[in-house]
Amino acid sequence: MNLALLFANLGLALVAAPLLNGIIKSAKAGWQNRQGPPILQPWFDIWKYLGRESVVSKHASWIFRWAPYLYFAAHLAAAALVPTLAVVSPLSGMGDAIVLVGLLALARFALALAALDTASNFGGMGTSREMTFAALVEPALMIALFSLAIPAGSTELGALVGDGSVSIARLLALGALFIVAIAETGRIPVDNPDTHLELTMAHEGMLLEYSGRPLGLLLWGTHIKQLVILSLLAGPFFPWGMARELSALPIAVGLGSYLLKLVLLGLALALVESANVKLRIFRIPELLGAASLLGLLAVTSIYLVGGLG
Amino acid sequence: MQYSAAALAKPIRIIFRTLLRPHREIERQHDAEAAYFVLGVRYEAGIHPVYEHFLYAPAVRTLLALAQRIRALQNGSLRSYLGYLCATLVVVLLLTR
Repeated sequence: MNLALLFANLGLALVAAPLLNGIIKSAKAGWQNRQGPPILQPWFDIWKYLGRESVVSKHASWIFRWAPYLYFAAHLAAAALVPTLAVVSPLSGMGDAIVLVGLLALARFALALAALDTASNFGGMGTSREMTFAALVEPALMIALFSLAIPAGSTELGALVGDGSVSIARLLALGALFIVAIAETGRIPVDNPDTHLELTMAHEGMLLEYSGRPLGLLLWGTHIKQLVILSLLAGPFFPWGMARELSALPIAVGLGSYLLKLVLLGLALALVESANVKLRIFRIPELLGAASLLGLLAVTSIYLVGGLG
Repeated sequence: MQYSAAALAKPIRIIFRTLLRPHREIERQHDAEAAYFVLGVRYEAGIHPVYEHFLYAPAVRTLLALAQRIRALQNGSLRSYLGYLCATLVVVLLLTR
């Protein structure tokens, strides 16, 4: 049954992740009074890129060719780790929250090396920014996850889900993780996912040298990362509907509630994107510092209030 | 043109400037007659060595201070060394009795 859960997770990540991005895009378009692309557009894009040949600079090394596969695989592995339909993680015992953060860091590291590899200026600038954000995002992510792990007594992702009770620590950690989610998915106050030609871009700058199949894989990987981050919000903070026993009916309920939660969280991201403007790059540390601070407050509140939830 | 390591780490140096305290010194040597004609430039940039200053230096200082105290034992007199040996032997024999 755990194996079935694992395949369900992987299948959901592969299929639903681009779809989720499509939903976020059309919601944004709706709020901006635009028609917007169809919901399936990210899928069409990926399909188109996967069928095209890739043009690689003759100065690129093997790092440039292998990085997309590592990036994609690391995010897929992360998607296998997070509890989605049921409270247990499909790979429980093989990885916990720290492994998840490590996988995200591995993917980022691979892409950063690849972006520097061709020595293009945009790659360097994108890497520089992405790494700067990472230096601020990762501590916030870790502290927020620890504030969930301390009451649970385990860093196991299934244990972080809890029973749905509300405590001060959980609310603070939700705030921290939501800011982290905005930064990690490269959304507007931090980065702009829709642009290739602004000097403000971070993540897109790193992809600029890629074309064809590797680009398709990178896009797909980015969508999966977005799904993983949102699942990390959906599981521990909104555990309603997640299957507590592994039989057909609870799993079906879990699937329905999971998809609903993803869509709602995606709409929340789209709302934040539509209501805000992009921050200047040196204002972003303040936002991400706030996330770290919220995480730290969550950890302290566990000891002060004793809010074991 | 490549993105240099210094440029790559620049945002981090700016964000953590209270901790890293980056500094930059530029000295220009001008021609005596034409001030706009620069003969040479000396450029120096760096950051405050945080780990060395806050971690290694205090550790080395405490170690040296401790060593200074222990030096009182090591006074160069052969008779006192034999005395230590004897005292150690007595203590060990007492412990393993």
